[in-house]
Amino acid sequence: MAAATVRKPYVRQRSALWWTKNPRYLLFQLRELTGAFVVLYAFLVLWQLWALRGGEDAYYSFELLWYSRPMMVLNAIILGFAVLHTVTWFALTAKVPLFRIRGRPPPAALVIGANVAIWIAVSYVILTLLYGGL
Amino acid sequence: MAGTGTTRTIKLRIKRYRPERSDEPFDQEFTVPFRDDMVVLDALNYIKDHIDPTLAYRWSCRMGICGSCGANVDGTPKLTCALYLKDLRRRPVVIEPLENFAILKDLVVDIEPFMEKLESVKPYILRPDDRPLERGEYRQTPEELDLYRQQSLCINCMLCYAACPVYGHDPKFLGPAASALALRYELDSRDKGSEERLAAIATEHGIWQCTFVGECSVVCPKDVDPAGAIQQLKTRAATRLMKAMLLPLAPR
Amino acid sequence: MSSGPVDRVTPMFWGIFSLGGFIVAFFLPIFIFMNSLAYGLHLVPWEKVQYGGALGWIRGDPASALLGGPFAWLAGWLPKLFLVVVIGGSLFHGLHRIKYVLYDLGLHKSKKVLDPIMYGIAVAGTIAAVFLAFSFP
Repeated sequence: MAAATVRKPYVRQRSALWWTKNPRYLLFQLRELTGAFVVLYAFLVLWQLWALRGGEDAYYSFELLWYSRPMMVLNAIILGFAVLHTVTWFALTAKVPLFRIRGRPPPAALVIGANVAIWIAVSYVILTLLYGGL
Repeated sequence: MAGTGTTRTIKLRIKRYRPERSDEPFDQEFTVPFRDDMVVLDALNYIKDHIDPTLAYRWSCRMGICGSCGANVDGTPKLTCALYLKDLRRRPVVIEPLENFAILKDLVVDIEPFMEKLESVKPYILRPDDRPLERGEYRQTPEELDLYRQQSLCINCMLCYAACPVYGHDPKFLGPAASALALRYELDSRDKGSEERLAAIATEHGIWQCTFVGECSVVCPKDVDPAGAIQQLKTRAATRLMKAMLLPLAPR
Repeated sequence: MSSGPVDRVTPMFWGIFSLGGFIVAFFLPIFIFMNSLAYGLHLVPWEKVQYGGALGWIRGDPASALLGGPFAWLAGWLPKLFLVVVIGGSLFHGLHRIKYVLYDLGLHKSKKVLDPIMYGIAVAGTIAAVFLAFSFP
């Protein structure tokens, strides 16, 4: 004489602020946000090239904006996000073993260290080869 | 602990759900005696044995191997048998059914979709050339076993699904554990079913939905690292596709 | 459920996204620093960033000073190729990421419309980069 079973699964809605629930979720969102900032910079550079094509006067007016205080601040923020991308990207690649050393995946510190070394070397090459140094 | 004669207690707030009684879940608080050697599961068992026998929850081995007792404790997916009460800071301790799953009753969630996902990755040795029994077993060295050992340790506890925000907004996503299981077979030297298996998981709601949040690997009680597993699967699937496009006549 | 036809398009864009990720990680910070901040921080003189200097940069003047003999012809190509790679990489990488952020906000239902828009912008931007960069001598 048991009561009939009631099956009525309850589906909870995921909160829109789910990413505030722990610091790793927050870092994830910031990491993904770096995508928006690198896209922004790509468009800024396209604008820059367009201005350069416009001739000396056009480029001069462009540079008044490009080196203005607000732009410097914006670009500093973009640089911050670009560096955040680099750092988190290295951490991510360390988690995906692409090869094995003596049967084990390489230690994360080794992978990240190697990436940082390459990053410094590449930056130096770009600085010297494309810009002729500082 | 000796001397005063007062028992220490701890308060828990449990999200309950009785479908025959109401349409919405409700919170209920319980106060249970507290010893340093108690885990959350002990508190749940105390409630069921002494306070409210109607409390429904899953558990079995109480030693972190059966994968039955998953729940969200203070917002984090945990095995209730593996979490000491004394390590919890918040009062009351908040216990909720595993996140991202439909609630059936109290802390019991609907795991049927999860079971289907496990099946969907073809979690068995696939060989076009199955050997007859008389020819003997497929042999494997310890080094070959080591290649997939990590992924084989999954206890199907679903904490990773509770942690995954992609699964949180799309229940059709294949998810961490099922993907790790697929990799376990991919990496098994006895398996020859890459093409078939990758075809099953490299789909719209398969591995490509993962955005590498990584929380699944953080909460996994067995260090299976499903996040890393999915990225390995993505690399394999993408490489396979590239080979198929660039070298269409090469053997796979 | 994950059953369905094998997805051939997503892995392609994921591969480009990954490649773009490496390009952005290694090339972008130094580029942003030199292109946008170095002058304001008094690390490079005005003559290098003003119109003539900028043209010289894109012509590969600094590189041709270093590359001699059989590699001299490369100097003119390097800055232009660099620009295309950095812009293209940033667009394909960043728009792929933005796409998934938008999915997360509920737009995954419109993916048949959203995907072509995002990748379309990336393609358009990369083509624009090629035209612009190589329009200089």
